[in-house]
Amino acid sequence: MQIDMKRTPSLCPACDGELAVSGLACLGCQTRVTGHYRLPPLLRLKPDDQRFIERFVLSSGSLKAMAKQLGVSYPTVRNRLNDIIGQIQNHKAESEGA
Amino acid sequence: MSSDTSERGQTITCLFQPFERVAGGLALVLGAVAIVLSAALASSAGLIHDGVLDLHFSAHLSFWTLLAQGLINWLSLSGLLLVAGSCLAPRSFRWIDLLGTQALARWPMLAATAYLSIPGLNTRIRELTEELMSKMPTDPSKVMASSAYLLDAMWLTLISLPSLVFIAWMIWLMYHAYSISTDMKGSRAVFSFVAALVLASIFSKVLIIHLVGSPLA
Repeated sequence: MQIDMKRTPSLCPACDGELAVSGLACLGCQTRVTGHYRLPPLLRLKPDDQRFIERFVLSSGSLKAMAKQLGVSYPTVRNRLNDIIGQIQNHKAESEGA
Repeated sequence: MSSDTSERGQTITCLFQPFERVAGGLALVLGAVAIVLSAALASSAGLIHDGVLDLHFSAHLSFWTLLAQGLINWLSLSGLLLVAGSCLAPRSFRWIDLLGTQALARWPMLAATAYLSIPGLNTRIRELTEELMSKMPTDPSKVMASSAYLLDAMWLTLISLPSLVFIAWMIWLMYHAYSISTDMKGSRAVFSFVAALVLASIFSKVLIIHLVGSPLA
């Protein structure tokens, strides 16, 4: 049985607000760092979209290769990428505005 | 049960959203085959495609005349949608996707042509149409045809209905092809598509009359 890695939550389960990292720990010496670190735009995407970007990078940015792998047409893949570009631009604009 | 739902979803995608799976060069080749077959079938059955959405009975025309009509219809709409997409789409797109998906979107026209080519049905629709047309009142004050022919008119509508369904399906596929090729959605996509379709219908008719001729029966 394959167990999926826990995903980083990006939205508050109570109010859907943006979540930020407030604590980090060293896996070696257990040193803890606390503060307020915003998640980068890519980590704020939905898990499906993060997987899509991972595939995109692994296929050397070839939309044709991705379309073949996913069994869909080129414009379908390109439109999905356009949608993700829009989300990243929105996240960046939010970060810069905050 | 979930596999049933998945199969149903795949069928719906194949019928109504095929361009999520097929676009570009493959769609262009398949669409070209559909246009050529439509022309061959229409030529043998005495049908014409004298406009983007038109399918009428006519005298038997040559295969090449019918092929020219099919190409004019496809290219008229594709050309106008290319212009609309270039002006309105949020990002650039590949022209081969638009041309290919628009060609393949015309395949229900092949189905409609095949339906109207069925020998007995073809003859019956021609006879009913001619009969009704000949009995239309010539006196301008009698604008309504006699109720005696109402049954014939209803029967004609009923047996022509499948071809109308195929045309409606083709319009949906043309819109879907435009939307997915240019990544446009919502009112911007709908209004620009309708405008291009209306203009292409006029443009294609004018081109066909001037370049090919369309002798309606």
